[in-house]
Amino acid sequence: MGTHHQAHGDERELKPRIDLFIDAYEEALDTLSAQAAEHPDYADAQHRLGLLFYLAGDPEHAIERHERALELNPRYTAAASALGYALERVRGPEAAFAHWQGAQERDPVPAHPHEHGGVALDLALAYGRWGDPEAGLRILEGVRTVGRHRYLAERERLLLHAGAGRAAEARALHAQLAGADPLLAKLLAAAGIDMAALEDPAAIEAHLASREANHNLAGIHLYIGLTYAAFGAREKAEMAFASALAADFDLASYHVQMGRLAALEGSEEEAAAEFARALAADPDHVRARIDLGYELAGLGRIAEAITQFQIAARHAPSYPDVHHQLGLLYAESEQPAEAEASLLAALALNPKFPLARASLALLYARTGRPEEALAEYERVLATGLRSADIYLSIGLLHLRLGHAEQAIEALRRGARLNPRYAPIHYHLGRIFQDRGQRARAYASWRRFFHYAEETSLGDRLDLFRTDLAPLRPPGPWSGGGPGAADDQAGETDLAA
Amino acid sequence: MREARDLVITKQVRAILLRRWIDIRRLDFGSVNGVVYVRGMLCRNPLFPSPVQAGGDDELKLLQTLERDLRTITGVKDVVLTIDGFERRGDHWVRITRPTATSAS
Repeated sequence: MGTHHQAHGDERELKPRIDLFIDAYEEALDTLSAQAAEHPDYADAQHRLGLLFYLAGDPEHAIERHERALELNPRYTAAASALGYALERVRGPEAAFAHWQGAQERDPVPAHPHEHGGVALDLALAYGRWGDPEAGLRILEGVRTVGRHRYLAERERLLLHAGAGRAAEARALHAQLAGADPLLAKLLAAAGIDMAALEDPAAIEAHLASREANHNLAGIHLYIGLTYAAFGAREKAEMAFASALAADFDLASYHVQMGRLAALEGSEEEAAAEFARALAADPDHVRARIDLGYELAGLGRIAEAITQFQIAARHAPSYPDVHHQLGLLYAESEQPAEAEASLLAALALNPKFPLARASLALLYARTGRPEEALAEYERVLATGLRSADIYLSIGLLHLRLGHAEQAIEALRRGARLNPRYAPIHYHLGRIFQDRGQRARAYASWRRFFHYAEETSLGDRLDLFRTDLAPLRPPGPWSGGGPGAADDQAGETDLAA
Repeated sequence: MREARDLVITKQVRAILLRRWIDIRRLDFGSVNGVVYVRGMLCRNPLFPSPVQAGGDDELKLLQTLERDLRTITGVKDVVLTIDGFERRGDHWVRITRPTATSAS
């Protein structure tokens, strides 16, 4: 199989996993070891390396890495969960059990809502596997779960009821779950949990054993699906996502991946529907909400997009770009005060966020606050962000304030930065025309026409030709006539 | 107002970067007033089938292609790529510092 993959948040984890899947253990180890060496204090790299060791049959080294990850981040629920599995392999079930119990007591409510119930599920599953399903059920009763863990918890309840010989309860729960959610019904079937299996202790035992063998199976299926998606093999990608879902019941992530698949194919409606389904499965899924906001904005449903970004900003208040995008949406819907507040919130989180600063400067410029806009543009330039368009904006603001010389200087800087940026030549031409400097105006407007034809401005040229006509000197446009002399004057002017 | 267009352009920039197998976590990108800005390190996604070899011509070709793709987005007036180790001179991209990574042998 190929090893291709669409970039996404976990891509650095992806290659080693797929390498491992195709038995390229050494290559996977090299990649992750380099990452861990490059970032020794990066808990995630340590944890991922531990997973790799575990999956490759080296639980002792896995223990070292997961323990290191937990030293770096004591509240790293996934590492705490994985450490238990590695301990079980090396030191037996009791060690794993003791570890999970300790982790659950130390941190009963993990920092991130998606991790709620993580270690508790491991404990419940362990009770089930080691012959005390009632204890497992008791643990699940006290656990509040969201997102994928909610579905996993329901699955564990089913299995624990079945394991305890309470087939009637298991059947009732199965009917309740499957009846409430058709997709969940398919998932249960795909995972081999049907009415017949619930009455067959051997089937339940086999099911538990299969998950014990590789608790990262879902991740592998997910990444294989992303690989197919990147190649446009949609049917295979969907099958892989479904397999991931059957292994891990992460409905929200499944819908997010399906949404991204649709988005890459340009199906905004379908993508928006998938992201909405992801949020129905897990309202706390911030990435799904941001993606939904983008798709709604693309569909012109600005008010709905604002709502999604507002919620995302509440869920992820420390993420500057969410505030930035929310600011852009407010500006679009002509709510400048809200736009300013959102852009300032983004800049409060990251004062060197150049794009947010440029957006704020543009907002000030468009809402009649030229002095503040100019001050903001100065800060933009201080971040190192520059473009002909920024200098054009600065020039036009100076012009509005009556600073003709500063306007010309800014426009010249822009023209030197990108001589092909046609609008800047148009405005230089207008300034020179107003000042009675016909030769310079003419030279600037010639450049404007020359470069505008290369750009999307080409279809608006007739409009500008009306302005240019009175300025055109007699004789040829170039060569030895007056036009050439004018052009030379313009060149000198630009180089100043 | 064109700000929501900037948001939509940003979404399309992201899609182009992903389709080109570029590691978007090493880049800051977005659109302001129809101008696309992409700043940072240009790295391929680790799973790219034929990884760009540091020091080879692939990165220069990638920059050229990427710039062309970004200019095709509806509403884009200009594209400003500020990529570590590279500079645009006229119509071409050139390397301005030697790559720190070792070339594949």
